[in-house]
Amino acid sequence: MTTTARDLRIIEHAAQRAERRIRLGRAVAAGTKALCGGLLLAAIAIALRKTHMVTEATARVALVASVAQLVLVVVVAYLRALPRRAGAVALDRFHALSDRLSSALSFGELPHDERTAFMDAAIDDALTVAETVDPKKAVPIRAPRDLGAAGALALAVIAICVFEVREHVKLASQKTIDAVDVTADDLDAMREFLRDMEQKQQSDEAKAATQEFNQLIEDLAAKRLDRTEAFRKMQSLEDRLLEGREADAKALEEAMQKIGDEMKKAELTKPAGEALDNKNLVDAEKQLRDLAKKLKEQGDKIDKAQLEKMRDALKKASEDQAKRQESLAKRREELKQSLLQQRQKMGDAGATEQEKSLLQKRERELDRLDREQKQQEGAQRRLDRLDRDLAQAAEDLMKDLGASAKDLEQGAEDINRMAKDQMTQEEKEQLRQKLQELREMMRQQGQGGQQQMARLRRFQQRARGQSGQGDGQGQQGQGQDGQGQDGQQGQGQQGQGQQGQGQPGQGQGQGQGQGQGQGGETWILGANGEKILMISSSKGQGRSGGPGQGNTPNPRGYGTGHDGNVQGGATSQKMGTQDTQVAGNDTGQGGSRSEVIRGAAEKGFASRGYQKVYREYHTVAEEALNKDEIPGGYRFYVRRYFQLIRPREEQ
Amino acid sequence: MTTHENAAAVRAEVDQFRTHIDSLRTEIAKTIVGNREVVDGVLTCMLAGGHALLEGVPGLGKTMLVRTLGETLSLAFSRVQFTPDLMPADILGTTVIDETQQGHKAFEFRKGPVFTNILLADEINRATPKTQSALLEAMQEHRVSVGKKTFILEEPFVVLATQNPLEMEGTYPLPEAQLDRFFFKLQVPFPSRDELHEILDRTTGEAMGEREAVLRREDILAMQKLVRQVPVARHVQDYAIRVLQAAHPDGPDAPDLAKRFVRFGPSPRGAQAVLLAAKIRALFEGRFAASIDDVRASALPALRHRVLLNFEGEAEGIKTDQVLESILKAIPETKGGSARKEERAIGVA
Repeated sequence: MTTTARDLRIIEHAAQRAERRIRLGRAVAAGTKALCGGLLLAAIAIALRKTHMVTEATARVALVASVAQLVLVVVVAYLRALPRRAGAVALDRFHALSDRLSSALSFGELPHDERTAFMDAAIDDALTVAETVDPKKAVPIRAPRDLGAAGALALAVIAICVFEVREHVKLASQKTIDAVDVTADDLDAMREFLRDMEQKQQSDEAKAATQEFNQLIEDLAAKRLDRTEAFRKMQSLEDRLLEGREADAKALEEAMQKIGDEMKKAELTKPAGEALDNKNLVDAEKQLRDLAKKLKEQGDKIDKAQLEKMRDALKKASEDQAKRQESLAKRREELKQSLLQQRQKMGDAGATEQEKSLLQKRERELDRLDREQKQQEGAQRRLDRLDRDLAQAAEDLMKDLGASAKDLEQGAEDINRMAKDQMTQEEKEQLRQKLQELREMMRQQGQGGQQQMARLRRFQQRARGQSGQGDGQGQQGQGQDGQGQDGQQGQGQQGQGQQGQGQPGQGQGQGQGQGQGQGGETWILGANGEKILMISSSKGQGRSGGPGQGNTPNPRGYGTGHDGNVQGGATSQKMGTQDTQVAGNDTGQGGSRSEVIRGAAEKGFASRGYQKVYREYHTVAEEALNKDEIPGGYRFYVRRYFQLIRPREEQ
Repeated sequence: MTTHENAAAVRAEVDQFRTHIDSLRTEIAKTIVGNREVVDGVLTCMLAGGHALLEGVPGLGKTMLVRTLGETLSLAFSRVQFTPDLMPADILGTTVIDETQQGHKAFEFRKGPVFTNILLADEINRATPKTQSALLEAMQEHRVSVGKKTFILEEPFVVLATQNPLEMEGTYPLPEAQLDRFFFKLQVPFPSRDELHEILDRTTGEAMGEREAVLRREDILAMQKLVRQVPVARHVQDYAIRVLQAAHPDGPDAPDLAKRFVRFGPSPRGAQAVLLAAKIRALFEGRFAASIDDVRASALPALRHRVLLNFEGEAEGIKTDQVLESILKAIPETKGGSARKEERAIGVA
């Protein structure tokens, strides 16, 4: 190494130190900026995490990113290339050396033979000052401008970390529902019905449905269901009850009747035929079994002619359904073709009004035939086995009586199954109707409101023979000015707008059939959803009670107002009466019907005599309902009425 | 010789250079008050072998300066007052018919005032372009061609031209191509109050002191030779080039002022002038290499007459000095550096 080179190292060292300081200064300045950015990011991440707007993972990623960017920026700023001889230039500037050091380094890089005397002199000149330079002073590491902001942000981050975000923890609260309100008496009625159903020999399907119905009733009793849920469950149960219902049981019955008609033509099969004709499947099964037994045991003794007739009857019975179906299909096909031709003709040449009307009529006929065909097919599916057994029985009759008897027994089994199915359908239908009653009752009670429910409860309590509410304490609260309490129960909308009738505690006994409330006409919803016009005749001024105040209890127990329809003046109480004692004759026949009814009205429906009277009336009512003598819209009310006045067990 | 021996020799030469310059300044200062920059500028032009254009209002001592310079340098001095009727022959010389010793008549070339060492061309912008170009050719070539004969002008040959910034009517502004031949354009400022006191004291009193010649022609030539030996570090030269490029409107790093108001930037002759002037300045301060500060200090006089403003610049009243100052502010000192204040302070930019 030449002297010059050794000498220049002094300058180079100083320049490198200065350069390192320049890099460091850059790194500090850039790092402070990056620190501000990182702290801001960290503050945001922590704040969002504390408020649970981001997940823990996301917050961690953000924090790591903020640190990583800081490190990256510092490293890049330190390593970023500096201008050539930046250190030497910085020293020259600070010490006012007029580029002596940087020029010396520049000249020192040249090969010796290219270096002039002046360059050597310049290098010497630089060396004289090289040892006096101070890189620290020349390149001071100044406090970055952003230091203040970084400090503030750091404090902000600390504050956010320390700050506790209050979390509102929702206390687990017991879920309450607005349970639907059904009176205990109505639930008891349902329970009674279901008990009766259970006692019958139910199919599995019917049993399951009954159990489900029972569960529904228990849920209602325990107030576990709100209105929506209750209706939903009822709908679900009804859908189940309607499942498997054949398109038309009537078609089946007709088919069975047809079979019965054919079987009646032979002496041997006549009893079974008659049973089928009467839709008595149980009897029909029994007759077939008896016939089969007879063929087995006494087959030799039976007249051949009778057997021949029996064979014909059975054969015809089995073929009849198929023939009817064929004929139906044929008719349908003919009509379809005719309709198609007519449509084409009308399309080509246009159509008159008459032709259009005829076309519509034929289309309706076709629809009807389609429906009938579907029904027949449904019935046929169920009768297929019976038809096959009867056909086989007819065939075997001439060959082997034992085999024929077996076939007849098979047929009896088929009829047994059908009978069970029929029974199942009937049971399901009963359950379904009861379910509809329950739904309608709940619907109307929901529309009637709390007042109606209260009145209903009072009535039901009195029906059981309880009179705890007679002094009117619990009932005063329901009376409103001008409205009081109505005398009718369970009539839904009629409870509104009625004047005070009766006295506290007495309104119920008087209300039956009387005091129909105020105003002329009221529209209500019937059992099937149809609108029914109810006309009320009373002006609602209070028939035998007070003036309709309702709120004031009368200690004497009788009303003080009167119905506006009453003719004539009030009877004076001071008329000079005479007391008379009359003794009744005991005929040993018990109370009369009217006495029983009156007694029930006063003391409830728990007496034995009442049960007998009720049964008589209820039977008549049921007959009337079955014979369609009562309009559809009123059927529910009739049933409801008898349900409400049904005999209770005394409590 | 070893490196150190070389360096010692150079140091001695430089010291001598400085001594000469100091003595020259001192002698000039006996007559010229203040105007240190102008004096140094004139000396720089002379030492660089270039010519100077002095611009200033009348009565600032421009002619006095030139005359004083001639007297202190023991150099021949001529003065030409340029007028519109001045002919090239009035400057260069003319051929006359003269009688020889033998009595014959022959053409003889009588040399004009240009045949001198220091020529003061007063109000050069008043002469016609033809006359101007005759002088400018001599300035460039350092020779005069008359007929078939070429006369070499004696070195050093320095033209110090003056022009009045006022009274532009009836003048013939020097074309840009001609202006480029001047090494420096020096603005002669109006003297300060103290300077005026000094001037009045000197010029209104008794006769001013006599000036002595402190340098000979050979000294000047040696100094001119020494100037050419001063080295320039690569980064310093690079800086000079970047400054020059930035003075062009489409040059890299050109500031907004240059982009907006400059029509043409300086030619490479401008960079030559800057660098030579920087070397001379370094020698003035006893340094052995030119620095970036030297380049900065030389940029304005060397480039102000070489930057041509566009119409917008002239209409806005922009001065070329403003443009050059913005360039010097904008260009970082080191390549790859930035012009940020912090980094400039520590010399990184």
